[in-house]
Amino acid sequence: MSKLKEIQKQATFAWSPLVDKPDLMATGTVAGTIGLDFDTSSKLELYSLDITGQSPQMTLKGTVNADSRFHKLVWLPSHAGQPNGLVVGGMENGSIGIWNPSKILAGEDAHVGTGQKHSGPVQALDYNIVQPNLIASGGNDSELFIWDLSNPSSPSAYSPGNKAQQSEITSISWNRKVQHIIASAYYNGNTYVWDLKARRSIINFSDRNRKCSTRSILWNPNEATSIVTASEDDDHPVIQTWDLRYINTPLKTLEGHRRGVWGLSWCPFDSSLLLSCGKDNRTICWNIEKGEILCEFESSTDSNHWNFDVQWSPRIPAVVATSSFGGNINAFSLQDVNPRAATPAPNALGVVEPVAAPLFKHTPSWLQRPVGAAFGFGGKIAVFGRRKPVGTSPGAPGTVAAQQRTIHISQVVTEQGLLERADKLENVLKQRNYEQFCEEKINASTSAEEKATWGFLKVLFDESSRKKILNYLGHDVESTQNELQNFLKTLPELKISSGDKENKQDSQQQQEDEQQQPTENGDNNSTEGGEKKDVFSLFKSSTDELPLEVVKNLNIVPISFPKDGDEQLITRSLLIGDFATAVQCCLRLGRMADALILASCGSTDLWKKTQQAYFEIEQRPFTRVLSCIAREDFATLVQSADLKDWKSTLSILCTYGTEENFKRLAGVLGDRLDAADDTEAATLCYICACDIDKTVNIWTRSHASNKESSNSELLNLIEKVSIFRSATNSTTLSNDTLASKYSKYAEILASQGHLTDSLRYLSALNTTHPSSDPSGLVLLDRVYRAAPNVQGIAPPPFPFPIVDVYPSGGAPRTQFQQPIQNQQQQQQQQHHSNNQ
Amino acid sequence: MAQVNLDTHHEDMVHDAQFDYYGKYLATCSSDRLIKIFDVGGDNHVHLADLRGHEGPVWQVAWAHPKFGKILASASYDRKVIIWKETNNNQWSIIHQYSGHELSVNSISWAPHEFGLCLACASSDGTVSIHNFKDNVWEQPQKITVSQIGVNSISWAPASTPASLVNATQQSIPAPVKRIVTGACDNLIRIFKFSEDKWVLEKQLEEHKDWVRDVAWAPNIGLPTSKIASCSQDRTVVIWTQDEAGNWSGKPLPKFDDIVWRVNWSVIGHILAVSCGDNQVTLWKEGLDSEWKPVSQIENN
Repeated sequence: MSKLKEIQKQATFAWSPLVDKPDLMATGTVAGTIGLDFDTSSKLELYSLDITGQSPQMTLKGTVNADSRFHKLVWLPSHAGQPNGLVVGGMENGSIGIWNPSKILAGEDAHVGTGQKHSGPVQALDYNIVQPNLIASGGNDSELFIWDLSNPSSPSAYSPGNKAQQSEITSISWNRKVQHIIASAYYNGNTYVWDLKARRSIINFSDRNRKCSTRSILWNPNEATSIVTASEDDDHPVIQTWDLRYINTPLKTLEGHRRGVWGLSWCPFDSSLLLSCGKDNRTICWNIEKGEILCEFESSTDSNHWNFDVQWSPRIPAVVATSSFGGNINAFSLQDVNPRAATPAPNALGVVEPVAAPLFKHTPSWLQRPVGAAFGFGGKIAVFGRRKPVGTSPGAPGTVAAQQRTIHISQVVTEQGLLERADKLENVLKQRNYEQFCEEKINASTSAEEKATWGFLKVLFDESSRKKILNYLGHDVESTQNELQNFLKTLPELKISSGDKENKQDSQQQQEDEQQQPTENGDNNSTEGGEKKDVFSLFKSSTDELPLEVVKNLNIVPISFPKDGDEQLITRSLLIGDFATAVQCCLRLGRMADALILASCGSTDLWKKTQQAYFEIEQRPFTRVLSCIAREDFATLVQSADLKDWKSTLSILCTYGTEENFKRLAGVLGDRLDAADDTEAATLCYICACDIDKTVNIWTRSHASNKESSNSELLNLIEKVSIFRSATNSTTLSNDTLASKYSKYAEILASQGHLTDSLRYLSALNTTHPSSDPSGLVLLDRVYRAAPNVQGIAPPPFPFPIVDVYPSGGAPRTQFQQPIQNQQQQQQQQHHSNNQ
Repeated sequence: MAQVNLDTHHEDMVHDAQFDYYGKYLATCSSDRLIKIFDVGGDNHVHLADLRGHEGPVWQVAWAHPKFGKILASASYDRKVIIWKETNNNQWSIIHQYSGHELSVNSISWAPHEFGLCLACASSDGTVSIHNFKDNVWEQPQKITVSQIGVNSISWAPASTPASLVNATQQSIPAPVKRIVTGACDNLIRIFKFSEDKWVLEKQLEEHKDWVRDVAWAPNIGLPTSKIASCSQDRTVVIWTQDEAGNWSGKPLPKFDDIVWRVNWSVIGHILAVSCGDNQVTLWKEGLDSEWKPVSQIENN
């Protein structure tokens, strides 16, 4: 034990019972003494133990003056209306003084009431632990009163029965188990037990062999009929335990004090321990069950400064205070109730010889951790703990019930939802239900982005259905066609209005042969279809091959050549076969249709150039799109399309692109979108491009940017990547971020006890992406050696350098024989034996 | 959650149970002075060994990192610390014993394996002893006087400081610093740092109103903050977080119904188990809003 602090006061004291202020102590100037200066004033003070403070003194927290000195002080626990409880004094002037400790601390007028019933000094006080507003007081007038302090400014009192003895009451104890039972001890050696319901004393006892003055009594905190008395007689300074059921003789008599015993305190943390102090200047810690002395306190060298009171702190384990006449209040720590070991010197080998076993007579319960839990790798938790004792002494020796020695091992699952999803994903991957899974994901998607992503992923599993992508881009083929038809119906029938009235064409034919539509207005011939074809064949064939006869025949239906103006010149260029110039002229004259018709008669080169010229001149969006489609120039489209129109662009790629250039160009479009930070669109393009790396890059990038990303988001990523990888038969993970995501995922699976799944991911990761992260190897090793089933997976290397540790003083062994492999074999053997 | 019961057949109160690094073995200790080893890797739990050597209740056991072999340390009321090693299959030998504490040894903790084989012990005598195995010998222990009264618990900081993880791209990663945290009967939490060949008090955390029963430094999970959990006789649990400037701030969990005896972090460090004197063990997790919430309760029956 070691001394903690002191108060240089001759005072009676009470520890704070408050859970949140366990370090406080109330002191009251003790009655029956007088100072050197004949000072008779009285003070009630609050001190803090201030255990970490440098000063050897306790710290004063508040002082009030009292009108009388204190025989006894109790601090009632907090109760209705009194958060810090009440401090109650048994006063020399026969009153009961009541103070509010909150107000003492605040420096306010703290005296709240006085109870005036006794006609002599009040030495004995105790309170009801269940209803702390009830206190009992005993006086030198032999009277016993029960007080209700619900209204502390006007306490009410009643007597529990007729005066029992004509002797001063030295001590009162309220039964700890039965609320209506109290005991009072008398200086003449009698102890009376009162039933407050029956309002009378129900039993009394004293040592028949030897009448002695009882100074203190205490009920056993655990057994309702057991009580301890202390004798103040110097000739018979004993502590006796009594059981009311066998009242004729004490159960035990504890002999150790050499002069009268005054103070008793039962340890609130370990009911085996009882402290006593006496006039012999000793303070003794007893094992009350065995009746033996465990240890003794340091005591004052001045034999007049003997301790008249000793109290365990009700809140701080192993802290004790004593108070002596003419001396101090001292606070001690009683960490260990066994004597402190002398520091033994180590022997030559540095080993300290064990101390003899009988040293450890008792283990205080405050050291006995009764409950605990420990986590293990893989989300295991081991929990142990004793059951709360029901009506029995917790320290009672005897057999330990099975439940007290049983350890409960559980799997901690904090990510139930996540595990269900993970299991589902594993099943999907195993059974290759990719499209169904995608479908479910599409249906469950809450955002358009998610829906599109899963839609695109689904399409990857069915190349032939590439056009279904259009649906996810908002271009449903069927509904678009319907829409077009409806639009067409709203348009007027096509009429050819030419200078020649006879020229009629039925619209049906016009639709059938669109190439005829741009026929120039100048063609004012009413011709048969066959003849028209001749006209076209004329244009398409080379002028050199024209037979003269045909020209003659043509003359039958007269064509009049333009005689003047632009057309005359152009016609002349036709006559000489200079289509190129004719086309140029038409273009410059804005006669686009003529130019195109002319070009179609010329060389392929001219046709292309003319188209190009046309598209260059006609800068309407429609013609630009048309241009790309007509020329199959999707590269330009992808390069120059407004990124806002990425959906339409992608749709065109979908509809017209070949499988090869579709993927490539979708990728290019994705790059552009990505560069423009439209990651959502870029992702979809990359999916079309089957570009797993870039897709995953974006996914992981957006995932990584969200620092607080939840496990659920991680699983979203894993789901998409897993499906994407299945679709593209990708086996590599060229992406560091992705590898770390997989590692993280494996770690979560492991933490939830899914070691087998975790191991599969980790070992795959280790082969495809071995140098990603050294911590990955550590995790792999740990999961591998923790997993119950490692069949088919090669043991990973032990990722730490092995350190050989041998007994101190012993010779170092040469080498452990590959301990890890041994361990491995053992584990496998164990595994086999477990399976059997 | 699914629960498997392991009857340890200890003859008195069980005070600790610890899984080894892989979660395959469980070591238990009891007031019956014994340590028991179980194989809990499979569905059937197998009792493998009894370790006899202590002369009083054994309070704690701790497994060393597997790179040192199968090594277990134990702390007892008999004021001794014993280090055990499985030398043959299920045969354990005492490889080191320390009797230098004057009172009960209440808590032990192995340093992160990066620091070598190194054990810290906390005692009711108010001191902490640090035992290093170096160059094939157990060095003279380093002693720290912590508290005027007893020390109840001790825990090591992870070897990698959170800051070095965050700044992993930096060229010079500072050498890891040895730090321990203690919980004492004077209600204080203290952080000691090994600096220039001696242990110096770096920080004192004051929040508990009564004995600090347990302290646990959280494993590093790659976050920029360092965390310590502490629990007390005053029925409170406080989660301490160190910000990037190095300041610690405590956030209490809602008050418990009884003394809180133990706080334990899960292996990955996301979950805190709180063991309370009313026999309730609750699991807590920090939400995205930085509030700690109970995730489940383990009925102990």
